[in-house]
Amino acid sequence: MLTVNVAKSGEVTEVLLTGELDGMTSPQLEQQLNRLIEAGERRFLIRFTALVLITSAGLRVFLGFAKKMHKLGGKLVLCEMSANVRGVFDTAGFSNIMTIRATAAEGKALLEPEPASTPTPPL
Amino acid sequence: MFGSSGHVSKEEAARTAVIAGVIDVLVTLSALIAAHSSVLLADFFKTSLEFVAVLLSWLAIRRIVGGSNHQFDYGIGKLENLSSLFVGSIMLLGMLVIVVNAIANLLNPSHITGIGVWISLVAQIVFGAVNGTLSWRSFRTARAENSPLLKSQGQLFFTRAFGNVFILLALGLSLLLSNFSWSVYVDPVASLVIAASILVSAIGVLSSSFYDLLDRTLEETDQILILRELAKHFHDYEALHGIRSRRAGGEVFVEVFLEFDPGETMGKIQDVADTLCRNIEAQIPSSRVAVALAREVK
Repeated sequence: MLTVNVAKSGEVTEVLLTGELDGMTSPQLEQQLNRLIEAGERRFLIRFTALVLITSAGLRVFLGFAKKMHKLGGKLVLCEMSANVRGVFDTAGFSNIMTIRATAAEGKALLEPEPASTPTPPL
Repeated sequence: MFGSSGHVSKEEAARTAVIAGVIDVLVTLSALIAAHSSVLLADFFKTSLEFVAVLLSWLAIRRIVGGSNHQFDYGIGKLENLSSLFVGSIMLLGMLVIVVNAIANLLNPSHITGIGVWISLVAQIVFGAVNGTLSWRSFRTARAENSPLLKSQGQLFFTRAFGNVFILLALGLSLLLSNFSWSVYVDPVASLVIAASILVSAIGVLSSSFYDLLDRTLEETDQILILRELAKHFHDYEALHGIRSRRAGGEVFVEVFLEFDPGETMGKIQDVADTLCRNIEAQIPSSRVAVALAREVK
């Protein structure tokens, strides 16, 4: 069982995962992420706070999604992983290719567009 | 194309086993004819059934090695497992024959007699050594080639060597202790011990072959190994469109569907595909990996 909650916060699309991400539920997440891409979303913060299990099928969704974001010039940050989930990401070598942060605030800081710098008046 | 030298070594091992089996059957038949011993009757049935099993394995391997119609170019996993299933069934049958004979002997005990007993004593020594050697060779090759067929053969020869030693002891003790009235029970009891060992081996062969016959997906650890290789080459392809994997017999088949940059050279794509295949095959025993080009989800 997997619940996917999507919330928009400024430019950032937050995706909160609850439950288990396995062979049964990964197509559901993949479809929702694809729909968000088709809708033009390009900055994603995936929150693993309430995700209790992830299998290779779930990892595969993130590998494919990371490739898409890379191709489209989007940004993807994963955060709030439990030690178990983080361990699976590390074992699969995903920590080297994806941006992972401990908290949502840290992740959001990476995704927020940089404020336009105010021009300094000439001396 | 795939490991033809491995198939030839399997054929050699199986042919040697068939020759040894023919001689074994002839000797046990002569001993049976020239003696009055139910243990020798059981030995003859057991040896004959084992010979049929070895013969079937050899015929299966011959068909694979000699086949030029490309029917088995992708391996012999299922055929090997079917042969193993048959071998296991025959072992069970042999076990039943021995048990029935042993019960008959226990109900109507008698002393063993005849020149056949002495023929059998010599034969058990010779064949015990032969079966022990063949068992060791089969297990060694089975480990190197991850072959369920040779593993089942190794178990078969081990069982036979074990049987040789036991029959030798049963006959020897029956002769040496013939002054004691209870010695008439030595050979049927020894037969039951042999039957028990055959049962254990048969269950092992049947369960592993049956399990391997079922097509199934890869274990999570192997799936993650594949993903780890894809992560290592993250920047070498454009998109991942799917991974198909299954285990059939003792072999693992993996297909990875990747999309590459249309502007990339074929040489670079080939290099990436080759490296992926090589690395995954190195980490998953008996695996065959293919990278397919795709532009949509598979």
